[in-house]
Amino acid sequence: MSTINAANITDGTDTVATGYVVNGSIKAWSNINQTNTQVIRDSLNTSSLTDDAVGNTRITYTSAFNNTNYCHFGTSSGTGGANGDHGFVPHASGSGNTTSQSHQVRCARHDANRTDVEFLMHGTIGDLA
Amino acid sequence: MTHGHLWDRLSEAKTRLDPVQSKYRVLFENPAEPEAPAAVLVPDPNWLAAALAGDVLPPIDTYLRDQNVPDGEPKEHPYAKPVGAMTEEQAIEYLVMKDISPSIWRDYKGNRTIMKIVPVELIPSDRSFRNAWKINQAEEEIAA
Repeated sequence: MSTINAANITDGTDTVATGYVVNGSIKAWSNINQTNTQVIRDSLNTSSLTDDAVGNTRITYTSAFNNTNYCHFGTSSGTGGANGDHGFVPHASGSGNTTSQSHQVRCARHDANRTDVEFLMHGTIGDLA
Repeated sequence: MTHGHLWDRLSEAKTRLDPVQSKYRVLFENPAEPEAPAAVLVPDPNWLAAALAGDVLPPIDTYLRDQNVPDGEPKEHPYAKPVGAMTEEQAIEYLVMKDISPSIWRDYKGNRTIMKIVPVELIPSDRSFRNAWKINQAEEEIAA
C-alpha cells in the first residue's frame, strides 16, 4: 500500500487541507435487511450485526472510534401497514450500551412500535482510535 | 514496510475482495438479562472476506486488551500487524471473542447453554415470536 503525504489537496483552483477531507470522510456504513434471517448487504468498517430483538440491531465496528462521541445516522423503509410504511432510526445513546466499538439502532413504525425493516441504511462519522 | 491503519486496510480490501456471506450465525443469551430474548450475531460479508484473505485484521488479543483501555487513550488494534488468512470457522471464533462480551463466551459458569454457533438454516425466518426466542436447552436449537 502506498501513502501520499500532503498537507493540502488542490485541483489547481481550489485548495483544502488534507485533514478536512480525512476527518470529514465517513468512517463506517452499512445497508442491513432486518427481516427474515437478518443480513448485511454491504458495508465498510463493520464486523457484525447483532439481532437483539424486533427492530433492535447492534452494529459493531472493525476499527473502533476514539470515544463514544461519534455521530451516526440512518434511515429505514419497507415495513408497510396501516401505521405507516417507514421506520426510523433513533439513537439509543443512553440505553443501548453504546461503546467506542458498537451501538444499537432501533427501528419503529410511526405508532412507535418496534418493527423489522427491509432496508436499514446507516452511516457513522467521527474520530477513529 | 508499514502496515498502516486498520481502517486504511479495510478500505483497500473492499476494493479487491468479493464479500462473503457466512453460512453460520451465533446464538447467545446474556445471563445478566435473563428476560431478554436470545440474540443472533450475523458476520459482516466484507469483514469475513478480509478474514478469509488475511493480512487485513489485527490479532484478536489486541481487541481484548483494548477493552480495558479508557476512551481517548491510544488503542492497540488499529496499528497492530495484521494476521494471516483464517478458515471461516476460525473467523467465527475470532468474531465471537471480538463482538460478544467475555461474560458470555469466557466467564459464564452456569449450566445453561447460552451460546451456540449454528448453520444459518437453523435460524427461523418467521419472526412472529422474535421477542420470545430462547436457546432450546433440550435440543440445543433456537425455539420460541
